[in-house]
Amino acid sequence: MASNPTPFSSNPQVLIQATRLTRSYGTAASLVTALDGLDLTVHPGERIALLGKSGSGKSTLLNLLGGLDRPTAGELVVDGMNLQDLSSAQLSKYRAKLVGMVFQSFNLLPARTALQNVELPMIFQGRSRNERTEEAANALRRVGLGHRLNHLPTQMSGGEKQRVAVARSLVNRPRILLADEPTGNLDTKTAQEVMFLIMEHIRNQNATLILVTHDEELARAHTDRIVRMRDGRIVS
Amino acid sequence: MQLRDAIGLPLRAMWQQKVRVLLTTLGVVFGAFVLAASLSIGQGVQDTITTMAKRTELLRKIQLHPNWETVPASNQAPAPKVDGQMSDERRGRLAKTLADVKLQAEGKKVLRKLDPEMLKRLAALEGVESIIPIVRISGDVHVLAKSQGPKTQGVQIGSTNIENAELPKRIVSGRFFQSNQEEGVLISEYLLYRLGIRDESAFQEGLGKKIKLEFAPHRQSAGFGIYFIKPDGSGPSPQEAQILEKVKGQLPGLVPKLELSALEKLALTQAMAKWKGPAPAATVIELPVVGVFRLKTEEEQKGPWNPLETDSEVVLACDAARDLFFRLPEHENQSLQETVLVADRQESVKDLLEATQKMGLRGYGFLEHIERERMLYLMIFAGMTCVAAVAMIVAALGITNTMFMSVLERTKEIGIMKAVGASNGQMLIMFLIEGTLIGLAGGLAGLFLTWCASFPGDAWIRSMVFRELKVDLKESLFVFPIWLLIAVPFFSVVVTTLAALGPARRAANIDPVVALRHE
Repeated sequence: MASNPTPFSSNPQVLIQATRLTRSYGTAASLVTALDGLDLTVHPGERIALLGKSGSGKSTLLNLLGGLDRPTAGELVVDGMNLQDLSSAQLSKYRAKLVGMVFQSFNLLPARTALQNVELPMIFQGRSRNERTEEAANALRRVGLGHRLNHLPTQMSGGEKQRVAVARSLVNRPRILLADEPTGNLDTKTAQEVMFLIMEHIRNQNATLILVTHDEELARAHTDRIVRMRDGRIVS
Repeated sequence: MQLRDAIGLPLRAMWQQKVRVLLTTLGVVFGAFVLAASLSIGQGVQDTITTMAKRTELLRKIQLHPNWETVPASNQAPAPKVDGQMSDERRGRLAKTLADVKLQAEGKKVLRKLDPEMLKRLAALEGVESIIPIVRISGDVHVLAKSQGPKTQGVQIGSTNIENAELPKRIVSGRFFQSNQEEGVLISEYLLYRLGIRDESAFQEGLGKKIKLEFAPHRQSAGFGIYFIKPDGSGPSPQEAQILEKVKGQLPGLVPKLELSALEKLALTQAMAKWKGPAPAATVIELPVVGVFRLKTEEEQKGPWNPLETDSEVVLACDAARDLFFRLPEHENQSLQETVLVADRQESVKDLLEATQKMGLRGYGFLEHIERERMLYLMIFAGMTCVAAVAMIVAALGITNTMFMSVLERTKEIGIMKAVGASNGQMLIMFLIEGTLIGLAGGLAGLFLTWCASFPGDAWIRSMVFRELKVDLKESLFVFPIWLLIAVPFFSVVVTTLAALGPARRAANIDPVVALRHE
């Protein structure tokens, strides 16, 4: 698998364009720059891995791409939308419709069942109860959890929880899947199963994947391009 | 987000913190209970006062009394003009004050009497249904059949009208009057006993027989009197009064020895002159006994006040009593002390009061009294309602505190929801709805508690009122009109939703990135 920073795609359209993207935190006296003038181009259907040590800015970039955060400077255009220009309500819609996120720590609601967790994005989209229940059940079946619909996260293993999180992130059929160390808390076998599910969706939906990982092997196995980051910049 | 989910998500969140939510809601329940109870009883008391007043037709009655009015003397000069440079408004006020002062100083006092002419004028007013004269005369009574029989002096003779519902209940023999003009008397059994008619059979025999009423004019035995008031406020004892009488008798003879001018001594002597001439003749009237009544029992004396009731031992029908009153020589040019005017409807009372005031009489509408009573109770219950509102606000502070804690504890949950597409507005709505649901549940529960408390409450109040006032309350003092059923939960909802506003805004503004890192 090539690991150069040049964009690879047979599709000339640009899905994501980050230009001199900067994100800083804190006051002038103690400023922390998580992203420092980063440029990145992603085409539709690309599978990109972001590699780097802790503090390199990978998760910050992912949060910006996911619409959870706003850059301090620079420009971030996704699917033709300049994310800085979106209101908070528009950003919420962006998160609900365009983007699916998978986190290392699963981030499931502990008091809701698997089915209710997967329904969550559809609730905020305003979809009807019957429709979303059926969709959520199907999504869980697709990840092999058809028999665990009414179980709470506390009654599941780590792999099962991550599969619920994957089902939740894919239930709205997002065009961009952002995965932040999705296998970080899983054993090898489970990690492979979860990646399999993720990649199956990417292939079926021709979605774009941006994967944050420490695991270079994982990155090589599942992505077209590896982008290495250090100190908030892309180094290769 | 659909409405069902907007309510379902907060409900689910509240269910997860059942105990905390229950304790928070209890504060609202208490506040709503006090609010509902004070509004309910307040309205109930108002309604009861109105219903009872309507039942006794008090609201249509006006009590009239004669009145001393100051009118300008025939030769009275006009009031002085107002001098000085001032605004027209002030000049007008001062001119009126000068005119009033002059009138009081130089005007003459005229008694606007309740005499036959005035009673006719009153009866002719528009909106008047009837005029009920209230007559009280003092006279001597003795039984005609026993011409040598005992005579009771100084008996109070009163009047009644045929709508009086209380006196007929006390008739022990005979009947009540059949018209206000009937010429007959009702006499108390105790008076008959004093007159020597003591046997049960004699009561029956006495019915239809005549009694004699004697009215002798009162006159002073001298032109002056002597009195003193002791430091403790009491007057002379009987012994001291006798001494004063002796002094009074000697005073005319002592006038020449006083240090006064000759004119002054003459004026004083004339003022002290005894009335000379033969004693005026008594007026005697014979009337048949129509019925015999007993006096009120102690319990009956506790009953509701009625201006048309009389405590006299001899009672005449009101129109017959009026005619008797004015037939007596000593009452020529005199006035009845009281008359009740009955309006044809409640709405006429205000105009009639104004009309009677213009006629110079002193009037008192029971409607005014009822309105004052209503206002008093309204103020009491308004005070209670304020207390209830304060209780509700205190509960709201508890809600705010609890919800801030809840937002803090659910920070990660909020972050997750935002990460999967919840907007700030949706988070705001969810937390506001939590507050609304607490208010709705608390308000309805408080209302329900009030309804439950109304049963024993009503029973207790009714028994207390009957025991103390001998009034049988048929109406419930707890009422639940539609406006109350809506107002209590509505107020609770408004207060609790406002209480949730702060926490809801905090939840809405939570940074999802920070929230997702929260443990």
